[in-house]
Parts: sequence; C-alpha cells; structure tokens
Amino acid sequence: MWRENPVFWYHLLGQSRARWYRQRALTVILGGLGLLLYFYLLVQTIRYELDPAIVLILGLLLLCLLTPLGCYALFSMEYEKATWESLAITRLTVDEIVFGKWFSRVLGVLVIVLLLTPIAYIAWVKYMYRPVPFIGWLSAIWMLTAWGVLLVSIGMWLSLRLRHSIASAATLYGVQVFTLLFLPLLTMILLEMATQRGGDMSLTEGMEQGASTWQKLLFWLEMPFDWRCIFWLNPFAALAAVYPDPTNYYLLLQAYGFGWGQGVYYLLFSGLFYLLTRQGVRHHWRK
Amino acid sequence: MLEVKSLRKEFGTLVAVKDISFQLMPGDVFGFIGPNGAGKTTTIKMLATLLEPTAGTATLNGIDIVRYPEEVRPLLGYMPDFFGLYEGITVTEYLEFFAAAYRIPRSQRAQIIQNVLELTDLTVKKDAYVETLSRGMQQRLCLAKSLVHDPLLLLLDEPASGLDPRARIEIKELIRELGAMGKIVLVSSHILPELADFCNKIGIIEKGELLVWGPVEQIIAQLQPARVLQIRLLDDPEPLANYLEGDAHITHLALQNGCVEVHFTGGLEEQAELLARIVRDGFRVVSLTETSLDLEDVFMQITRGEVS
Repeated sequence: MWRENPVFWYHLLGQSRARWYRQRALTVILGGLGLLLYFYLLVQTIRYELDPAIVLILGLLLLCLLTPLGCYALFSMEYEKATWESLAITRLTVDEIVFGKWFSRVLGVLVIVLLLTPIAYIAWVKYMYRPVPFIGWLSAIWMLTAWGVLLVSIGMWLSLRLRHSIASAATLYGVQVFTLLFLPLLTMILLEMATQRGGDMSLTEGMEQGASTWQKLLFWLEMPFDWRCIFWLNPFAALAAVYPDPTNYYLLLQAYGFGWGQGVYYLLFSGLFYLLTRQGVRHHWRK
Repeated sequence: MLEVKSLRKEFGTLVAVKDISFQLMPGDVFGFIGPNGAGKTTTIKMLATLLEPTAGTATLNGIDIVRYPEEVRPLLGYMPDFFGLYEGITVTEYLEFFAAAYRIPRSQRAQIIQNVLELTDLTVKKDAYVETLSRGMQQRLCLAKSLVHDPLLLLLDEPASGLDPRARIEIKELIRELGAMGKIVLVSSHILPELADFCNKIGIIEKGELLVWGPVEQIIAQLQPARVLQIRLLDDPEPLANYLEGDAHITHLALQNGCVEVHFTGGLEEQAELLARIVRDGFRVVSLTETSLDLEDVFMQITRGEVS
C-alpha cells in the first residue's frame, strides 16, 4: 500500500530528493536551527516547572495550526495543476491514491506528537504541584494524535470537494475557529443566561461517581446527541479535563475515561471523512 | 485495434457528442479535427476512460472501455490539452513516479526511462526540475510520461497548442515516429496544416457529429471528383478560356491570377490529349499544374462553423 506507492512518497517528501543534496548548506543550517530550538525548549522544560496542561494545550494549538497547512491542498492541487487526469488513468487503485496522500500527512501529525511527547513527559514528571496519573497524561497524548488525524481527514475531504486550495484552507481554519471557539463561547453565554433565570444545566449532569462500565459506555454512545458534546468533544475543553485537580468534578471526568473517549470519536469521524474522500475519488475519477 | 461504436455524451439537454463511430488500426495516426466546442476533448476524455459515455462504447484490443476501464488504462497514454506537472522534482523523478504508478518493475524502470528520454529528446534535461523546463519541453515530458508503460493507444489533445514553431516541428516529428512504431495515435487539433503533415486518417467533427472520417486521400477524392488544373500561358489567357468552353471533360472554368483554372473530370490520357491539343492550336503554354485540396479546403467544405 505505501512501499511502492509513488503518491505516498511524493507527498511525504514533497520535493526532489536531489534538492536536499544540492542545497546541503541550507539543509544543514535549517536542520541545525530546528534542533537547537527543540533542545532549548527541552532544557527550559527541565529547568522550570511548566504546567503539563499548558504544554499539551500549546501542542494542540500547534497541531491545529500546522496540520491544515499540510492537507488543505492534497487533492485541490491535482485540480489546480491539472495533474489529476494523468494520475487517474494510471494503474494506482483508489485506495493507494487516498491512503498515500492521507498517510503521508498522518505521519506528519505523528512527528509533531512525537516531538511534543518528550517535552510533555518531562513537564509531567517535573510538575509536583498538581500530580496527574500517568494514564491521564497518556490519554491526552492519544487525544492529541486522534485530533491531528481527524484534521488530516477533514482537510483531505475538503480539498477534494472544494477543489480550490485557498477555499479548503479557509474552510478548515474557519471550521476550527467556529467549533473550538465561537460555538462553546456562545453556548457558555446561553448557559449563563439560563442559570441566571434559575435553570440547572450542568456539564456533569447524569454523571455519577461509581457508575458501572455500562453506564459509562452509554454516556459515550449518547455523546453526539447531547448538547454537552460542544464542550466534551472540543479538544481544548477535554484536555483541561484530562488534567484533574483532586476535586470531585475532575476525578469524575477522569473516571469516565475522558481523553480516551474523545480520541475514539475523533478517529471515528476521521474514518467517516476518509471513506467520504475515497468514495468521492472513486466516483469522480472513475476508479 | 480501436473501435468506437456510437459513442454519445449528453450533459443535461446538451448533446456534446452524437453517436460517433470509427475504427483505427495499429500504426494509424488519426487527426481529430473540429472547431472549438465541437466535442473533440469530450470524445478523447471518454476514450481515456475519464468520462462515462451516455450511450455507445469503444473497445481497445477487444476490451470495452466503459465496462472495464481499469483493464484498458494500461493500454492507453493520454496527454490532456491543459496539463500540469508535479513540481519540485526532476525530470527523471517525474518519470519514475509514473513508472511506479504503472507498476513497471523497479529493475526495468531505469532502462525504460532512458529510452523515453531519448525518444522525446529530453536526455540532456534529465536532472532538471520540471518547473524550469520550457513549455515545449514540458509538452514532451508529458508525452514521455504517457509512453513509460508502452501504451498501444495514444490520445493527444491539442499537443502543439501554445508551442513555438521549432517545438511544433519537434512534436510533429515525434508523433510521426510513434505512428511508425505501430501505435494508434489520435491527435486532436484545430490547426489543420500541422495535422496534414503526419496523419494518415482524419475525422472531422462539428457540433458533436462526426461528419466524415477515413484516409486523407480518400476524403479529398470524395470531395474533389474533378482534378483542378491551372494552365498558365505566355499571352492573355482569355482566348484559351473561350477555346476550352464546352469541353466534355471540363465542369468548371475560371480565370484566376492570370491562369485558366479548370475542373477536369477526364483521366490522365484525356489530360495529356487536352494539353497536346492546346499546344497544337497555337497557345503558348508556360505550365500546367494540378492543384489538389488540402485539409483546410476539406474542412471548410464539410463544416458549417457551428458548435454544440
């Protein structure tokens, strides 16, 4: 699927192998600067007690900003540069084309998460003020990875549907700003108004300490039909919940498998967009 | 062999291609002629398996292109009229990309790439980045890419558009060579003189309808039942025009550019006799030339200048 897949290698490397050899000085300087910056961040994390939640939220922000850059043009560039017809009539299957493009970008997400992991781990080890179980830290990393994969799948689908790189990039960033910022803010305002009028709308309504596994599973299965999904499926809100204070509220969220559950949903949505892309290519490219 | 049978494409109420049929054999270079919007590109896209016909089909070596597009694709090479190249890679890497996409074994790729580079005269540019190539070289690279898997059918949509005269000549030579290699080459163009040089068959399409198709000489013979002879005299041509009027083999007579132009229906024997008679009767003949229709004349006679 990927070893002999030219689409995968072209999108992974992005350009000629020869260019790296020819511009060795530039490659070495840029690579060196990147390494220096990375080690500086590592040292700073070791020296100061950074809040691991802040490190992870910054990592998530980085994912939200960088991932769309890699995937907004995955298919639209084929239309804009008029290369899709030449690609469509080759012997590559629809799975090789879609997987090749998708996997090259998922590897990019994994690289970002892998680079973040040591920093996040050091921050977790050094931070003594508010101890967090290792499993909580691990679930946060899992959720970050799944969110990145979801962004890749949505970006790939948008680039196929919209066929214009600028439009698909703008939509991808726009959707993120709306779902991660505007929608929760709007909901919070409405909730506040409802509370002031005597309403009782709690984010943990129906959740109880000591719930059975079945009840927890049911909670997650009902999540997409619950208004609280605006918050709980928001990775920023969920990330804050993964790092519990020793208060009942956060312990309750952790007991419900927060982080893991969101990750599963992100991967499920990701699978849906992947399949939609596959179907689109199959139909439009007659594969 | 390519056999196109009643191929039809409708876009809503618009009929872009109306039940066209033709057959081509290996070695045929088929000029697909028509004005802009006539349905050339739509037909080519259907043959390239990129567009599904509304009705009809085509077979390549007996394989149905509508029912088995995946089986046909390894047998065809396609060069779109508006094409792009993957940038940031060298010419060799670009061809490696398509060699891998056509599942050519890794061990054979280097040799095949070298061969197509030689054929398309791009060997000196093998390490150049594709975006640095001139338009003409990019056209040749696109053609090279279409040849890496040694296809039987080559579909070239306006291959010489936007090229300078030298690049045009080079592309023409290349297409001629491909025909000689036994490939079926279908070339679309609306620039007729360039097609006349290398096509052995033509098809003229207008408003989605294939008005005529077949060997070039046959079509010209159909359209030109009489030979056109131009007789130039040393003196005033008018007396000769009067002299020839009423001749049984002459269907049309006119004075043109100081010559007498006649449409002559007789054979070569009668033509020789006519010339001898004119000379014997005292007309001082400087030359007698036979002019035949070219593709532009054929196109103008057949088409009405309509688009679908």
